[in-house]
Amino acid sequence: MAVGSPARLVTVTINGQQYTVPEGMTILEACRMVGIEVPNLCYQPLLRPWGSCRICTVEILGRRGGLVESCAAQVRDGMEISTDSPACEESRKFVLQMYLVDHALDCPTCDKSGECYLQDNTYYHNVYANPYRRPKIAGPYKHLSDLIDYKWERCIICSRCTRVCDEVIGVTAIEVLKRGLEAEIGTAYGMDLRDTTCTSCGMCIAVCPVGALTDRKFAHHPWELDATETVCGFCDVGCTLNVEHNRGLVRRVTHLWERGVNYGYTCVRGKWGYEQVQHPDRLETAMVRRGDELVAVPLDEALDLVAERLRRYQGDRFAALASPDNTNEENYLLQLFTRAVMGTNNIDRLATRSQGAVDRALLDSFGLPVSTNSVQEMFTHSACALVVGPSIGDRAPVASYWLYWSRNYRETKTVVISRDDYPLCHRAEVWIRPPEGTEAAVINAMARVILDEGLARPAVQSSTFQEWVASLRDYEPERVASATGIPIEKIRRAALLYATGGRGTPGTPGDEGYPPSVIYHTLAHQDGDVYAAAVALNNLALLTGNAGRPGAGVIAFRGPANAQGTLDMGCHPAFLPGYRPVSDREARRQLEAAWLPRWSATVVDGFEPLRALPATPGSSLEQMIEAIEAGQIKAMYVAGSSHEFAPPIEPRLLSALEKLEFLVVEECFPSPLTERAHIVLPAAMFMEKDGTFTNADRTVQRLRLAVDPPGDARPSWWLIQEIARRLGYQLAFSHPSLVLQEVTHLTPIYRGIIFPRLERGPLTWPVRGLAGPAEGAVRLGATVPGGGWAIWMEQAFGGVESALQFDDGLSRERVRFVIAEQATRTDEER
Amino acid sequence: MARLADRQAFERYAAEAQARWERLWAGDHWVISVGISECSIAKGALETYRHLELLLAQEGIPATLRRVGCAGWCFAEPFVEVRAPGAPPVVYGNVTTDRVPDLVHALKRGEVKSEWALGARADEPFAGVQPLSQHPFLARQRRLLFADAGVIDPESIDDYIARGGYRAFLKALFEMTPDEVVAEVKASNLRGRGGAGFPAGIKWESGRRTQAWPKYVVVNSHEGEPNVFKDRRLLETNPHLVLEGLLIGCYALETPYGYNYIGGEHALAVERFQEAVRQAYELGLLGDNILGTSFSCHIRVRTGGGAYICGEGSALMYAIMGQRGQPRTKPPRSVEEGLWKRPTVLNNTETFASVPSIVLNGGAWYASLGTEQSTGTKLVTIQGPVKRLGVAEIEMGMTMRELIFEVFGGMREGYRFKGVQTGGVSAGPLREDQLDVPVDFDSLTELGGMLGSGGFVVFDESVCAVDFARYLMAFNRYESCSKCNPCRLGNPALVEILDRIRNGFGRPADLDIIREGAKHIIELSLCGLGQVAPMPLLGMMKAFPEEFDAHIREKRCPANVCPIREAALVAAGDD
Ligand SMILES: Cc1cc2nc3c(=O)[nH]c(=O)nc-3n(C[C@H](O)[C@H](O)[C@H](O)COP(=O)(O)O)c2cc1C
Ligand code: SF4
Ligand code: SF4
Ligand code: SF4
Ligand code: SF4
Ligand code: FES
Repeated sequence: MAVGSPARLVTVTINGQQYTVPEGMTILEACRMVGIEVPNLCYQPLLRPWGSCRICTVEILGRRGGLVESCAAQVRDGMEISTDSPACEESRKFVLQMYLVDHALDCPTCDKSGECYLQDNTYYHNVYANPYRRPKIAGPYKHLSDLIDYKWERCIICSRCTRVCDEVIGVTAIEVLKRGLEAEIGTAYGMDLRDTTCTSCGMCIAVCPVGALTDRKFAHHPWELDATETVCGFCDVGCTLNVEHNRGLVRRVTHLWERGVNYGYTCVRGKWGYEQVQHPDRLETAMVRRGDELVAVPLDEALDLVAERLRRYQGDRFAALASPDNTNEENYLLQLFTRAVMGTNNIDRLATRSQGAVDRALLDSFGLPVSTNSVQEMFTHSACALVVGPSIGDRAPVASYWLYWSRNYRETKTVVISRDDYPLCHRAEVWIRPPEGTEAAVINAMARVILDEGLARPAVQSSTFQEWVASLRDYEPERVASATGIPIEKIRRAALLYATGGRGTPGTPGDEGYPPSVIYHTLAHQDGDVYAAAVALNNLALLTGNAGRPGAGVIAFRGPANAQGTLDMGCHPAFLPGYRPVSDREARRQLEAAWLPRWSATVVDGFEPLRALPATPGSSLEQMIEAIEAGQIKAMYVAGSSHEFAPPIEPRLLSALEKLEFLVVEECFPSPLTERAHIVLPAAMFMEKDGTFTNADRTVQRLRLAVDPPGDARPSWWLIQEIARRLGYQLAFSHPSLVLQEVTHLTPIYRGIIFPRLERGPLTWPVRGLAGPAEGAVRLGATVPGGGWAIWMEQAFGGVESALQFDDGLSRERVRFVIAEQATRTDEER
Repeated sequence: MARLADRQAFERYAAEAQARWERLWAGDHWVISVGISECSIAKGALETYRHLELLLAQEGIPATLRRVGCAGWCFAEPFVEVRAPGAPPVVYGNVTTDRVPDLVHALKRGEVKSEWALGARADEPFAGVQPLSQHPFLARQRRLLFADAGVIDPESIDDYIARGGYRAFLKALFEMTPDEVVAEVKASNLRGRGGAGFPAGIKWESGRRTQAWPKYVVVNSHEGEPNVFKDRRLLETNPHLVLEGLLIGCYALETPYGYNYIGGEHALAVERFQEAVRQAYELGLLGDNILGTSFSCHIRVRTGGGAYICGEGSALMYAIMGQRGQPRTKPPRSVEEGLWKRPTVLNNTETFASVPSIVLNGGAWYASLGTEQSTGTKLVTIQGPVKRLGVAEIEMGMTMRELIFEVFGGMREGYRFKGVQTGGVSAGPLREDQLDVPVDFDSLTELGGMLGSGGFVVFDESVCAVDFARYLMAFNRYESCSKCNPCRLGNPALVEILDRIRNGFGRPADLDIIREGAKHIIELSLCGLGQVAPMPLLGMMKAFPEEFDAHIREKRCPANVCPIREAALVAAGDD
């Protein structure tokens, strides 16, 4: 697969028809692209061509030894291919007969029955008689872990599982053991997978074309299940999941290959996280505090009560915290409620300090609190990745897959700066393990090396650059090395690799400079002075010209699935939706025109319709804590998002919440928040609602309702509207799609992002063309000729343009070098 | 030992080594050499050596006791070569410990034990002992690679240099461009000795042409095939020759990275090659800026874990990279994407060992040896009931009959020749009437045989063709790497059918099923193993159809080997 090279076209004849296809494509891919199905078993998109099952055999006409494996052989100009000649058919029959010698054929008790490649192909090729038949050899199930079973006699040794584990997951926890007929899949020394590097991602099960690796939590026939395509709610990579359910319960999550930003792959949370959604501890009823106790009440009663009490707190006595796990639509409505109904800008996200610090760092350096580039550029442009922070394999797993993938296929280089010891560290060119709290110093020392080596290509030459260079005085590489105990050679090597796009030696850059290096970081997941480290990384990107071009930039993973979207929607004390400052009169006027007419004419219980939106920034989370302590904020609405994978809530916030007169908490699970709440509203989780999420690289994707929420639980967008209505504000969106429509109208950065287009696949903002396919977005979907693969290839050949470039959405003046020590809090707008 | 700084330093060093060598053979002391290699160790060579050491000391004989490598005459191991002052060296065969006292005493008395002697290293008969070169095992051989086998100490770089070693490398390094080296190898028409016979020069040229960096040169010393033992003997007896060939290869590819992948079973070969590498580093023939030039070269040794498939080029490369050794689909070929996806030139041990003489004497000279299409000499090994087992080096084109009946001495007493299995486990056998075929790449292939790596198995009437076919098939079945369907599952299916036949349950249709299955296995398998795995079976079926018939139709094993009778009895008892 010649990813990234320009597409030269060749002409081939397939089954008598001429087609023009890109050079370097395999015959199988070419056939798929033009819509000709070729049976395959060991082929798996994104994995290296393997060529082991031989069922994809096609015949090259007019050539001796013309039977070739189409999944590995490449098209050549003028090739004449037959995919269904008698020789092909005979070969396939033989292949199937061979598999069936020992294959258990226990279809009635096999999880895979109905979606098994071997079953399908046996049926299509009508293999019944088998001259090689003999008594079958059988073995017991092997329990590879509490999640994964292996059954030898169903296994066709296609190595899809071992390849995915090695090439994509990057952990190589399983391998083919032994040789010949006796070969089997297993772990080193037969260890339990839980005791190996296995991440329990389940991708080995996912790629197994037969029922050899099975999901121990699953016991249904596929045809009993309905499927809903949606997006994972457990981190901001934003993986597309295929949620399969029946009778109101999720039974398993499967994979839509080549769809979504994840091309179907997921991590352990995506695969088995549905167990959180249908956890027995989920909140199913509304509750009202009676003394020390929370007492279940009907939802309507609770909503009435909320409205009744909130009436007393209009203005800055009220504050709201939005959940970064809620959808864009929900967060939009919550900030709308806060601003247009409660009349205050006291809105922020329920985020950890570190998440806030990372957002602030991005905002300070780039003018917007967003990742500058798309993860997808790892497939096309990035030549080197600097990966910083706690194990990205744990925090943004599927993004880490692409790091391994591009190492294998594009020979990208990797520099890891992490205290965690995880497999990428050992594959990386350099792994720096900084003592706690020294990330910023190490990164600044790298900047010094880059300056000293003359490799600096600063993106902006403003005064901030000179000041910043001067501030680096304290980061002599030698000094940092001796203070941290990191060998200076490692710091140098890391700096050179990053600055030269992975070449590692200065040399002369090409016309377009060195190849691009990207920064991935998970600093939001660690404690300490995250701001300084995050800013240091941003500076490094600006210093080396790795900003504003494809394949470069900074991509920050902040944790919750919609951390980015929550900010985009204006859940920020200083920003209206789309990062327009609350002080921007024009923006306010626009929103007032849209929002204020919803007030009903009649004043209910003395709750006054608002005449104007508040114009001064409200309290941020930190300031809210102070304001509560000072008795200025008395009532709050907190959208909680507790589940197993959520970060803990800060104790300072929790103790402040205890001092409120009135606290409404919207929650999915009992949590420290509900313990302090006066009223608890049961909320729906991501598989239980419609809407959109915006992931870490600004890609907006569709969530779809797969199962109903338990009991009285309702999606936040419904709850907020109910409360607003009870306060005399007519919010009557019948579906989140209508909310997004309003967002699109009122928010320039979300122009062009509407449900009908999202149906076709993810869109990354800013979207350029407002009609037709969006540039720079990942466009996938079976409706496009050739299926997803062709589009993926087109992206690979044509190049993506999703890098946030200076001329759209970002003005050069807003990009600056930031000196962390002097950085003031930047919650005030700039 | 100081690193040699330049060419003059090497010349001086070589002159000294040569002088020492000559003094060794000219002095008035005894020089006694014992061949120590894995074959002779198995037959007690180490004990012989210790006995000699002891006795010579006891008897007060002033002698230099040397260890040399194997000379190819496995049938005569352990051998001892004795040079008494003023006499030519005489080689004695089968000197086990019980013969040592006799030998020493006889020598002390100034007698020659001519009845044990293989020959004398002289042009004329000496004391009733024929010149060694006229020994029937050696008379028809043409030794280039084995010229110094059993003469030099494999663990001494000085011995190698004294006999003209590293001259070819120096010639290439100082007098030839890499292109010229490749041109000579091309002109020699040296074909790969690992089995497939692909011209080495063309491979080297493609490797040079591919633009990518770095490049790698790899020696394939895996030799996992049954009944072949030439590469390991070569490494045991003259490791520097292979190393010199590899060095020249690296120079030709202009790369400093060379590997030798040696089968882990060949412990002594690994040890001696590693020692050779160590010595070459010490002397400055490996390392950075060799002999003051800009050419650097670093060699690493990797060992196999016992899987036959790791001898296949791409599997071998995965093994070197630390992954499961399994072949991959081609293209791309290894010269385009090999180790770490970089151009990699892989050749057999023997191929590399042939290179120094080509560089020294020219490609044209080499091409004049052997036949037109199969130039040069070939190491061959034979197993079976022949009189003289061992490693022989013959000019390509000698007939199979001459090879078996003259070089290897023909059948032992009481055995009648039935056939010779060629091409290891990858081809079919030849019958008596086909023995006049020349031993070279193409002639054998025409008859359904194969030169392969030069390992032949002679078998007699006591061997059953069905049983032997099963043995060969089973080897491939168990050594299938398991990657691809036709080979992993097809070969067991064929072995099972053969077992059915061997046990007397064969059906006439079975032969058709075998042919059909074999066709698919050959057509569809991913790598060379599967693509030839059914060949021995098809060959046996073609050469000995009557035996298959007897098993299937008459339920009878003519050689009385197969469990057919017992099985039939059991079956009858069941009725
Ligand atoms: C199953 C299999 C096993 C092989 N084993 C060896 C081996 O042990 N030694 C060897 O030199 N070549 C072996 N080969 C051949 C190599 O793939 C390769 O062709 C050879 O090393 C190239 O060197 P040459 O061109 O000098 O022969 C084997 C091939 C196959 C298919
Ligand atoms: S669950 Fe994931 S990490 Fe574990 S063995 Fe399977 S593919 Fe590998
Ligand atoms: S377990 Fe499944 S994926 Fe793995 S080799 Fe066997 S059949 Fe293939
Ligand atoms: S990487 Fe993130 S979005 Fe993807 S499956 Fe895992 S938790 Fe879900
Ligand atoms: S032919 Fe046999 S040895 Fe070769 S790749 Fe296939 S299974 Fe492995
Ligand atoms: S899909 Fe091509 S060989 Fe398996």
